[in-house]
Amino acid sequence: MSSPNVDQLKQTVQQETAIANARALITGINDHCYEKCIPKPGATMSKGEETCYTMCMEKFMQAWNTVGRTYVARLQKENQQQTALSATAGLGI
Amino acid sequence: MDSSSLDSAELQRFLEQEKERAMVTEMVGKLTNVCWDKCITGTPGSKFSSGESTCLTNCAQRYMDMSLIIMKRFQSMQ
Repeated sequence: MSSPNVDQLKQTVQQETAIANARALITGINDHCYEKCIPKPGATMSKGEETCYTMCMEKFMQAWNTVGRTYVARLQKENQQQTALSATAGLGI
Repeated sequence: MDSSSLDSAELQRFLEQEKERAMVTEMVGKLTNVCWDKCITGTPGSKFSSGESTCLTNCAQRYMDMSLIIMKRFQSMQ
């Protein structure tokens, strides 16, 4: 009886997380690329501004991935060391 | 035990995992914002220069070093 509720809850949590992630990425893009590409807003968006914005967006996502890979790899490394350390401590060495 | 109940251990594990993932993503976002400002100084071209790539990686690594130093300092206060 409660099974669909749990599944529903899990799905909602995952959806909300995905939305929050997307929102953070979009906010980052807007914050940084607006600054870089549209220093003096004209009456319309120029072709150059548009090109700049597109490139900036691609690069920001690339930067996000680069940083993410580095961070996760480091996190795993530190966790392994921590585990090794507590294992040695457990042995009384 | 009913594994589908709301207080099941399996659901708790799921939520714990999601929480951890959200924390990692939040940190990645924060780091990207900080490191972008430090490393991407010119107008963005279509691709990263190798210098920019290296800078982003180093920036993330040094931030982690710093967090570790802070963590150790606080641990020594206990």
